[in-house]
Amino acid sequence: MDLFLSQALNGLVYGILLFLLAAGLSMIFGLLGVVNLAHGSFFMLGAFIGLSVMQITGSFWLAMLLAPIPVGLVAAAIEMFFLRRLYRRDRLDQVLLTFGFSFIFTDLVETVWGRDVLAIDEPPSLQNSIEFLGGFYPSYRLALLGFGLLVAFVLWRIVEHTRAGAMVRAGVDDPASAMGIGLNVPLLLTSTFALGGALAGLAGVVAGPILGVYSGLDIEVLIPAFIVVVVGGLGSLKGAFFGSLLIGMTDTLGRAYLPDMAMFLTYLMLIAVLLFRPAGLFGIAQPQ
Amino acid sequence: MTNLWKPSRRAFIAGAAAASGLAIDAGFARVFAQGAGPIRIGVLNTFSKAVGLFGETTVRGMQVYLDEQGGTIAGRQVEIIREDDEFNPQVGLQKLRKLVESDKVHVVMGPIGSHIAIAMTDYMKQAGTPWLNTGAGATALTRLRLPNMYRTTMSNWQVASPMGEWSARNGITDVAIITSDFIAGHEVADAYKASLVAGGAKVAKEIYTPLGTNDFSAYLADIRSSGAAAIYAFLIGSEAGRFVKQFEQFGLKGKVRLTGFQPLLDSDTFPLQGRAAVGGLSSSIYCETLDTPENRHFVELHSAKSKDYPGIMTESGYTSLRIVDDAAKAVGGEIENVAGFLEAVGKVDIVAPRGPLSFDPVTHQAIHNVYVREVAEQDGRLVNKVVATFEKVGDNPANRA
Repeated sequence: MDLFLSQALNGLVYGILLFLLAAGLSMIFGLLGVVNLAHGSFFMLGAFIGLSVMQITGSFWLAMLLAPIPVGLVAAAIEMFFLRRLYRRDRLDQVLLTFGFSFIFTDLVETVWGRDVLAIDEPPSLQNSIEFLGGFYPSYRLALLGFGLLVAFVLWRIVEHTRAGAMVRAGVDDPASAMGIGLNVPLLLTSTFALGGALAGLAGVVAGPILGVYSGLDIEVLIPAFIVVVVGGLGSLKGAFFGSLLIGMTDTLGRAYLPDMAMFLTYLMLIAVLLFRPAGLFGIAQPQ
Repeated sequence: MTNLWKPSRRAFIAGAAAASGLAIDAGFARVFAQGAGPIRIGVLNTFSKAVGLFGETTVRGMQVYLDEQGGTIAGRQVEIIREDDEFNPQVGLQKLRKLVESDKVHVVMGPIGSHIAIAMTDYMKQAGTPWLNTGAGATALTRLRLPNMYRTTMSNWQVASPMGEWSARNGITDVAIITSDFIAGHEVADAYKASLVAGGAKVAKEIYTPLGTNDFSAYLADIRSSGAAAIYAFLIGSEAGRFVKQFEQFGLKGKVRLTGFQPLLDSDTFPLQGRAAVGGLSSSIYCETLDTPENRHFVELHSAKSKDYPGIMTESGYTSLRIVDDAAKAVGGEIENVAGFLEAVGKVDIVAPRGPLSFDPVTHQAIHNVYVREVAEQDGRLVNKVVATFEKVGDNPANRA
């Protein structure tokens, strides 16, 4: 296989993983106005719970199905019992709260699962490599790419073409008017936060075979996810999608062709976007 | 309100002070009751993150030796105090201070990280506490000639250099080098490259990956397209596990020869790698299938503790504690006699599970065999088998100059 093509595939796979994380992060920011520093923890928590489900049941598919549920519930609880009290307060207070939760979750996983680097195995049916275009590519990664695109499509359908999606969009655009026309905004906020958390948990499970499962994973995925959100535009699903692919590609191609500058390139991209499109690629400039 | 608060806070502080005072009293009583007291061994190693398994296996090796000796060393009880450096030099230095100053350990053993060992040197030089380096291979460490440090494990040069020489002689002539981007990674790559190129082979590509890399897909694609016929890799712990798995997933296995520095393919990492590791070559100071009475005995003892074969660090823990024991016996159990103890360590000349072992009197580096090993399947388990032996390899000549 052509080197560029296989590197581009690697970049797409990484981008899709980022998307699963950034989609929730972006929607939460757009709707709740909360910079959720615990979003990486949801990812990590999903990975660890998925690992345990897999150890007990032996099934990767069950892990994928079950792990996001408790993560979504934890997220819902955080929104209902803690975050909700802080909406009227300064943004910094919300940042501190979610930052505090990220510490709690790190300690929690270290107590329950220990501090080793663990891994989730791919499902047996996807452990081989597929030969195409004269090269090999791991079938799990191809399946992950397909799955991520499917999730992106479903999310897009929900947000753009359902009543619930319209409510979310209304909430993002103008929360006061949305409440004024009788939308149940508190419920909308809780369910968005929970769904975003569950999606991050799902991302943690499917990333397990590639990134591994360990305490500290939260921060490592959170930073690129934030870059994606800023590049793509706050609160925009489309922005999260294209931002993820852009950052995934930049990072991977950077590692391949300019290894000494790889880490720097992602930030360079961020700076460039901020200079030329301050609201992000698909963001709407917010009247502040 | 403030009036209500003050007394209770004062009472709390007084109570806490009283409680800590009691604890100190109890501590004194315990020490007096035991006379000379136990030999305190401070194990500073990594017990978490990517290389956490090495801390565990090092201590396991020490435990195997202690159990064999009935729990005593030179007739004294042993207290092993372990501290996790988190593979971070700053944390390591803090924990080292705690071990030396507050636990007052007689011997410091560890670490695994070369960058941590380097950070320890200034402090250890001043502290003067005997230090057996059980895991950090930084070639530069023995160049410093710390009077109180003996390296019971390999130096990076010692293990990487023979592999380059052997590879060039055995038809591995076009190699992509991939190592972690930290001091040990660069030392290993340099030593390997020097002897490989001296043997007439060439290096197709050099890649240095950040510590903590999870996904090697970009690098593997790069190596495949470079046309290299072999990989020489130095990655540790979970990174070694994932790299070897991804090496197979990306279809390089069977096309590109997998070779590496000892921890890449070791009993400690086989559980993470599975059959993807079979056929891989690595050089090391130890091989679990060595057919010597000393190693058979050690493997037998170890099987009571683990279902896996012992790896390099397990053997290092075992042999290093034996060195402490031998040297402590030589000074009549008085490990507090630092000068006498260190002199006795330098005179150690034993046959360990890994083979003959003595110390270079100038650099304090262990002199031992280096084995080229191949991963094979035996009774459904993965093991390393010796392919070639370099006998009694000493320290880098540059360190002795």
